[in-house]
Amino acid sequence: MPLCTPLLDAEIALPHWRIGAGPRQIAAADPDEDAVTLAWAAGRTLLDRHTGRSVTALLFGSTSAPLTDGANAATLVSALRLDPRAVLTQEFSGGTSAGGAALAAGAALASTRPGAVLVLLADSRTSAAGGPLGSGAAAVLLDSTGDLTLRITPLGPASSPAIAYARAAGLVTANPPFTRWAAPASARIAGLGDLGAAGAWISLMTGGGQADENGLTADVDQSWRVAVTGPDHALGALRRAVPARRGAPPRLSGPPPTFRPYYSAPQHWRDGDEELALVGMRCAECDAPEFPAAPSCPVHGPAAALTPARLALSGTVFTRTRDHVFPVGGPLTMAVVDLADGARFYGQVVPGRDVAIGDPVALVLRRMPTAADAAPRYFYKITPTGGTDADQ
Amino acid sequence: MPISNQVAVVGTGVTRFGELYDRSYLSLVHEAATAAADDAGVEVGALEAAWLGTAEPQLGALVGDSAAAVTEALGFAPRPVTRVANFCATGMEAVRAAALAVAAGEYEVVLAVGAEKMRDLAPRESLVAKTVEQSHPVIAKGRTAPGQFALVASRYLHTYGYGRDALAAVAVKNHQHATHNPKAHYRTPLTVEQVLSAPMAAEPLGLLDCTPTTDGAAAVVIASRRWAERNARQWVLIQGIGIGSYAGYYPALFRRDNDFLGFAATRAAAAAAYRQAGITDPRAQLDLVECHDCFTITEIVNTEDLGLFAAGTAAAELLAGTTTLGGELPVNVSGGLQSCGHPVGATGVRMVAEVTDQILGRAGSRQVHRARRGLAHNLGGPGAVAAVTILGAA
Ligand SMILES: [Zn+2]
Repeated sequence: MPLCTPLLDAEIALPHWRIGAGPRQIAAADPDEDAVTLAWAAGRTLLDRHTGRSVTALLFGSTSAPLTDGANAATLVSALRLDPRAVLTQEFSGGTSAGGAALAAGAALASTRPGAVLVLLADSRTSAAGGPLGSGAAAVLLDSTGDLTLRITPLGPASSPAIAYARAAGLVTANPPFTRWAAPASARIAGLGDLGAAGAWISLMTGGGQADENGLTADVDQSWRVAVTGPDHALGALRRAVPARRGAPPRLSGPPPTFRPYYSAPQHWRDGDEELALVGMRCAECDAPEFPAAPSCPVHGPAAALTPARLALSGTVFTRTRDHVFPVGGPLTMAVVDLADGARFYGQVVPGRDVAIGDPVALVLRRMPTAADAAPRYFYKITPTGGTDADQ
Repeated sequence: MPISNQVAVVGTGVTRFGELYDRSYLSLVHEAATAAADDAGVEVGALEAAWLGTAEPQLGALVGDSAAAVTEALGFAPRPVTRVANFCATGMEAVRAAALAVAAGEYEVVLAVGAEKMRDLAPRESLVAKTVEQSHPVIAKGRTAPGQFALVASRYLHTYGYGRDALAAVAVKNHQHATHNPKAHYRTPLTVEQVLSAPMAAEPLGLLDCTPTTDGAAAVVIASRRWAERNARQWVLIQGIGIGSYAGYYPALFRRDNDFLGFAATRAAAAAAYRQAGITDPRAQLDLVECHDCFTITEIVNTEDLGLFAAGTAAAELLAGTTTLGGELPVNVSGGLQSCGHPVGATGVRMVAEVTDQILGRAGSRQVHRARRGLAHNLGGPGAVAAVTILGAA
């Protein structure tokens, strides 16, 4: 008896790079991407089509979550500009069946809670030797107003093979809570690789699954079958072509062993949500927001009426440099961006890409350099969006 | 009382600038301060108070974290000592604080000293570590000193159509000037080709577009005009001294009114100093300028912000020789930060000492002919603050 729930929309996100050729080609992530940033990319695109809709739960399924204590979903809530006080979060891991489990839990939640349920499935997996196996993410929005129906069927006794934890293979390189593992192969998607918990859904939307009178179908690692049925036009709107890219991601110089950047847990607790949501301030007398937020308007002073303002995530490059001095991940391209709402942003361009003055760009969530044994910190970097970006 | 023409610089003292591995921070403070006192013809024991400019005490095991370092270096107890810091404008801030205290009438003769011991650590552990490691965990991460001024250089070249050779001309000019300054860190002339072929620091700025990391100290004795007239051997008058601010450390690069073609803080500081000094046409009314040139682009845009040249024309004036020693308005005849180096707290004091020595006609082979009035300009942060001092013959 399948679990059924209305499906409103879905999206996928694939990293920029491709390694290898033909069916053995894999989608490869930048060194500053991980399952969280890929999930953010899919979720951001999806939610941008549904602004104003109330999301009341965010479920995250991954076998390569950067943190093992559940803070990944909380990071995603803030970075997707959802309300941390109003959104239920849950994470699913432990095997590639996590993708099906997250969807099944999402279906159950959607039938018992008001508002939409956002299910994010993401993986950026590496082999025991550290080589990339594939990276990608899917975002699924379950809501009672959806035209489509998601059916989730347990496939019986077969279940996900256990993750071969690297701990057993002696490959753990950091203390808990940061665990690295060697993942067993999940179903490969031709041209994209082993996408773990996100694999089935990406397969479903990119044509790797079946498409027939039963709609779009894909199996999750022999443990679940997911199928989407509904009107043809709505099913058609879910299909995605895989953009062809070339080239391997850049290798970055890692932080020197002595790299001990400033870190403060109280500062993160106090400011983390606004940083991840990229919240500046808007003065009632000014015609555009300013970032970072401060207790006064720089023009109108301390008496100005200031309200928090989420900055636009797209714009054009005002000025740029390529910096060979910054000792972590360099050389780095740094740019100042005129955002679409009139605010300014200054930060790093994503690795391996470049921008020129006047180029259209977007801000994307990436990992920022931290000390080797510190928890990941996420913030926004600049990525070109024009058709003719100057890849290096 | 208003400061203009009521406060004098009566003595200067500058140490050698460079990689002074054999010298301690305290010995540099001692040398600069005692040299300034000797020059003024006053006993250190007669100085009533002292202001210390040091921007980064942690580079030297916290020596200089408070002006108690002056007490230690000069046996200054129990007299009052105060440390000031204002990014790279720290040195001129020390001069300004001392001058204001004298103008207020509280003291007759005081000391302003700036010192920085930067080479006790490797350059990458020095100011690079500050922007890389001590800065905000995520905001503006990736910023370096050359990187932030490179953003200005990129915008300037893009807007006005100059090439990197215009930037290189600053380094070539200032290194040529420094061949006449025995205290400069670098005293070897450079060619445009050498500047352009140096390793890239932050495009379009190469290594030779950047000031080196340097140790040094400088001091001036500041006195009331009345004290100077009675006691000083020779002196110059502070005609104006102004500080301007623009934005905090992080917002300076995020502010949407930043055109990356210059520095609003410089314009504000200059306006204040010009108003005090009664200057309405600075290009015609100034005989020389010491301008902050931590990077080559810094001198170009700040000479525009100081009102010496119209927007977009400073590079052309530079290339035409206007700002070379012997030209219409020499800029950085000392060699500037490009060649002297930039011991942060010392720089602004060194600039005031240079303009003083020029007006007093004792600048040796780099003497500007008939220098009667000069300007010293100190920029801090990525344009966060700036200081301008106008000095004139008594
Ligand atoms: Zn305002």
